[in-house]
Amino acid sequence: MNFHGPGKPIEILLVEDNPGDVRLTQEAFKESKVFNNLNVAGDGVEAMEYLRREGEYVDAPRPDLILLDLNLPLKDGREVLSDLQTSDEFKRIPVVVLTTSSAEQDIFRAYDLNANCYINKPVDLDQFLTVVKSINNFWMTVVKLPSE
Amino acid sequence: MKENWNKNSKKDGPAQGIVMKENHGTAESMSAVSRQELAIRNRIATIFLTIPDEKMYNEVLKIILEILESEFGVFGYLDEDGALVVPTMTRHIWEKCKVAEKKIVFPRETWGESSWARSIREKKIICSNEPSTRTPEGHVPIERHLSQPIVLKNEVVGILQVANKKSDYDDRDLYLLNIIADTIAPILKARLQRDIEERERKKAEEKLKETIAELTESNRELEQFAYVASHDLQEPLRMVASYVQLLERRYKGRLDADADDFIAYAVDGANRMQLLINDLLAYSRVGRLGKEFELCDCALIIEQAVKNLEVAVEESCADIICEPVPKVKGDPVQFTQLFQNLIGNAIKFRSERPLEVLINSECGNGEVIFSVKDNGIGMSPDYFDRIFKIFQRLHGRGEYPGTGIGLAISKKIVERHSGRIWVESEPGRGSVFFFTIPERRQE
Repeated sequence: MNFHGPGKPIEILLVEDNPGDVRLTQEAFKESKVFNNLNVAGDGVEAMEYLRREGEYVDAPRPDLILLDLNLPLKDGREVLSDLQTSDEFKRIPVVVLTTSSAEQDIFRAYDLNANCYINKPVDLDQFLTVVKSINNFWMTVVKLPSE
Repeated sequence: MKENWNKNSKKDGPAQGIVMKENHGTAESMSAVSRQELAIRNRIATIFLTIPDEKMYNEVLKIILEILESEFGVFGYLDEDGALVVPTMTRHIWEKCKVAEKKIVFPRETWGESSWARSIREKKIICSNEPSTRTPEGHVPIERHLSQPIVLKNEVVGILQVANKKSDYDDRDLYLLNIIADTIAPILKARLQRDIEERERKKAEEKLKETIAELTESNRELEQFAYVASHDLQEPLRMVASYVQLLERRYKGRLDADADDFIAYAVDGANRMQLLINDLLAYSRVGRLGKEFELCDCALIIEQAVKNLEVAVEESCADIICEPVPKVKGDPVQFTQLFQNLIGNAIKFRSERPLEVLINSECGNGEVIFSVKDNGIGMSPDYFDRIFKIFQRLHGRGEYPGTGIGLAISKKIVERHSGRIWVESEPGRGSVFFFTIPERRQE
């Protein structure tokens, strides 16, 4: 049930290694009408630690939505997808793949691993901001999230 | 080179133990001899003409042994390095021969003083009716032998040797062997010449194949490089472009005028770099991602290309006419790109006059020549080659948009289809771009 009472932000986990892209995404999300919290993990290993609330992430909120880049160091996004899909605990969380890769096999594989959707990061700033805003709009105002 | 044997002009000295008989030829026996001479010449010539390659030497040797009534024989030739090559000795000797190192190529330095060596060096026949003392250990015993050089225009081309006739070799034998050598000389020379040319030709062919393979690989590497470079440049470029744009957005008017200018230049630079990289990627895709060839309806393709340009077409009020065009085999996506580029250029580089674009084709010589004609600004012949190079432009950045990759891509597409592309143009009158696509038979 989507219990976002007044004051409770939508928790988003952004898994992205490029700090430039992180910042851009943050800037775009700042302008969102919906109260949200953008949490960041810099690679696949960190992402899983965050989800499992291990180490420094002991108090991390459970994400309502995951934005996942595919090309990550240590453990790449494809592996993270696979881990999420096989885990009863996390498979329910919607995953938006947001990546520079437009390779067909990446697209197929992502959907095979039950990503909710696949988005190509636009090269142009305006387009990038538009895309992030669309994600924002769609997943946070149109869609019902399986939040707990 | 006929010698008169009465003159004893080609005989070796007494030290070799030669017994020479006198020539008692009568008129009758001479004409019989001429007939025989003719017959010998014919037999030998026939062999050369009808029997291929190495077998030829053996067949000729057989005839020689027959005519000279000899048991063993050698027929060899000199190669380009002056070494003696012996493709044939009578078979059964070759097998019987127990010489430690049986060779068939004798480099000049190793010749020594054997009869055949001296015969070649001194360019004269050597006759010995005494058992040979020079044969190596294990060699078949030689009772008597003749060595006759094969000479053409004073150049030794080969050697003939016969041995172990039942009786001594006489003038007549010398004479016969001489005729034979005489007959063989020009033909052998021609054969060897032909063999040399054949070898050269094969070498050149191999070299060509190698070069083609190298170029193909080099091409592939370049395409790969273009792809990797432009692909990897995208990400940092995105950072520069995005953040400078963000700066512009957020701080325009809030810093001083200089800052605004600086930012504007940076943004412009980033945008242009973006376009260049995209174009390089597109260029690298032509070979890399080219599709298999299929039969394409060019009329439909041109229609699609024009449709893709519909905004520009409307803006320019261009009148585009397409004559009937044939179907050709190729990559339909690339053909669309090609026509779109050429028609797009016609629209871009239009003049004051109402734009007319005419697309036509002509079939002939196993190829189809397409043409895209416009009445735009045209260009000087000085630039006919340059425009097809990557990023070459004839105008300043502000005058006409584009990075100058369109025609380079078009050229690559045409060449991928084994065609040619070129332009005819006159400044102020317009241009015609031609390109050919080979006709391929449908299977």
